[in-house]
Amino acid sequence: MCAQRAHIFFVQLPNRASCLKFIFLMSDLDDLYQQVILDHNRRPRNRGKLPTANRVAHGDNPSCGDQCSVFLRLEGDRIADITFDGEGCAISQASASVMTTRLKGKTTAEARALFDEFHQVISTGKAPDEFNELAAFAGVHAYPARIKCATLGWHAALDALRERPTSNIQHSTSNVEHPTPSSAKVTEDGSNAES
Amino acid sequence: MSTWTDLRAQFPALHQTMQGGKPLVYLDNAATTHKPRAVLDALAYFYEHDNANVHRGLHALSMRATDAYEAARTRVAKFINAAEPAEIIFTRGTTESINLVAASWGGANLKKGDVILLTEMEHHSNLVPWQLIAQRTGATLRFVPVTGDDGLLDLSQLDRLLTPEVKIFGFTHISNTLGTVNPVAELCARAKKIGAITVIDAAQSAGHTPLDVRALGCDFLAFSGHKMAGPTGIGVLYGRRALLDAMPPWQGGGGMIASADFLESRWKPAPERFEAGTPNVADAVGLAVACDFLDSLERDAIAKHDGGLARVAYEKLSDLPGIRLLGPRGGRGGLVSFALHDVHAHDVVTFADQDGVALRGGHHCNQPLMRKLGLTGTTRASFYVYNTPEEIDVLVTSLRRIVKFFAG
Repeated sequence: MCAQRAHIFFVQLPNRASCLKFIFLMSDLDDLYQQVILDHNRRPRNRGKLPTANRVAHGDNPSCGDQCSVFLRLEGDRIADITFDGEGCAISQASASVMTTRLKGKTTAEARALFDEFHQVISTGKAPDEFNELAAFAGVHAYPARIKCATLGWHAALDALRERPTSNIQHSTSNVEHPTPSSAKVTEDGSNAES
Repeated sequence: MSTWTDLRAQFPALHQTMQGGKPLVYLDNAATTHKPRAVLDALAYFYEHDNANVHRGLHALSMRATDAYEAARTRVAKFINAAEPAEIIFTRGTTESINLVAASWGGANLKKGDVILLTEMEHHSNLVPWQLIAQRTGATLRFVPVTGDDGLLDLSQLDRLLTPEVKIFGFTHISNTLGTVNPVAELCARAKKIGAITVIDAAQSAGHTPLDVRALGCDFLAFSGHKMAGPTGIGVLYGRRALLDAMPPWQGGGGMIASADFLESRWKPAPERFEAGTPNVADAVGLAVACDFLDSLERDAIAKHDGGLARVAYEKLSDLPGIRLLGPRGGRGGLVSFALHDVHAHDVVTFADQDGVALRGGHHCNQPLMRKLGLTGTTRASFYVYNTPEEIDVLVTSLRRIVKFFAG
């Protein structure tokens, strides 16, 4: 099982050295913060406000101050584009980042199914049969206090999908002040040059 | 003092092995402290022998429980040098104590145009109750600024802020976020000059330093049992007798009325007026034993020990790459608070937990100050009588591992 997972990460990771580091460092904690999470935390994908968004929702975690806004453009029933913005721990930021890469192009029903799958991963610790980056969050299941971190962005995205379309971007939780839009430059592939 | 030598042995919860066989290094004492055997035994003894309702029964157990409860009040009065036991009101904790002052004193005395002066370093428990009463009465809030990362109150602003409109001035003795020890006696004296009432949040000081309400010259002082080696669910509001006698009840129920009729009732004097319902008798008894325990160590020595550990931690942590330490460098309460560049406080806490180190990460119920300092949160290590310099080394080693891991 261990070797199999290591192999999976070997092919997923761009850099052999970090991959080997991952294999040798593996422990409960490294399970939690494995390279996929560290990578997305350092270089979040699709971060920043989406000017063309027609849906937006804000999630925050009052117990720890983490916050995450999700902007998406829904065309018909399909998520044509999606970004997130916010601040918080490595788990919450990486999870939102991975989520945006997974949700782009999905229908509302597919997005919900994907969240169910993700929730299954983080609550049971069992990775899905077919590997995807969501499996990187399997280690979260051992830390019940952190499950809310991993789902923060997802809940905001699902809220945004439930919300009525709007031309003027409004936030679903009106009592929460929205964080200042990130000044980070978003590159063409959607990743941040510097977070 | 010999009591210190076997101190750790007196705290059963400290002797446990965490995952990976590592010993527990408990550095979250500003959130709650552990309880010595004497306090745990007192709780068990009360429930096993004296358990009864107080001030109501005429049977032996009720009389014993009443005596124990009132003896606890007397003990706490002595602990902070109150003029009389009637100035001690038992509450659930600091939060409830401050809510009591805000609702009762504030509700009866504040009006539109009045100002409630607080500081920017207040815990939400000394902020939100005032926001609530301000909304109810039309009074407004005003804040003494914090200077910056060194975490001091900007006292040069005090003359400008302490105007005659200020009716009440609330401030923390020791900041739970910064470790700052505020000059509370001076603040009380300054407030008194303009006739403002003073409220001290002593949650972080009651278990760590000597407290003398008459020397400080405060009108109200609030603290919690569980942050001073006592049980959870019991706290104290000290109030000057003359003020308490003029204040209306804030909750109604059994135990607080002199006589009741269908349409109206008359109240007992303080402290009963403010203790509606069956009080937390067992935990009050436990709190009194915690007072005995702390006095056996001598509170000057505790302050020296906890503050000493915090200073050592501050110096050792300052060598870590990318660390931002908050609060004053010199004299401080028994805690250090810091932010690591690019590593969120919750990730720090989860990692340290793997090394058996219990820390607190987040905004510490001090969100407005965090925003002002441009932080989403900090990691805090807070010390108590049973902590050792060796535990600081475990903390530093753990933090070095975290910094290295996230640096890749």
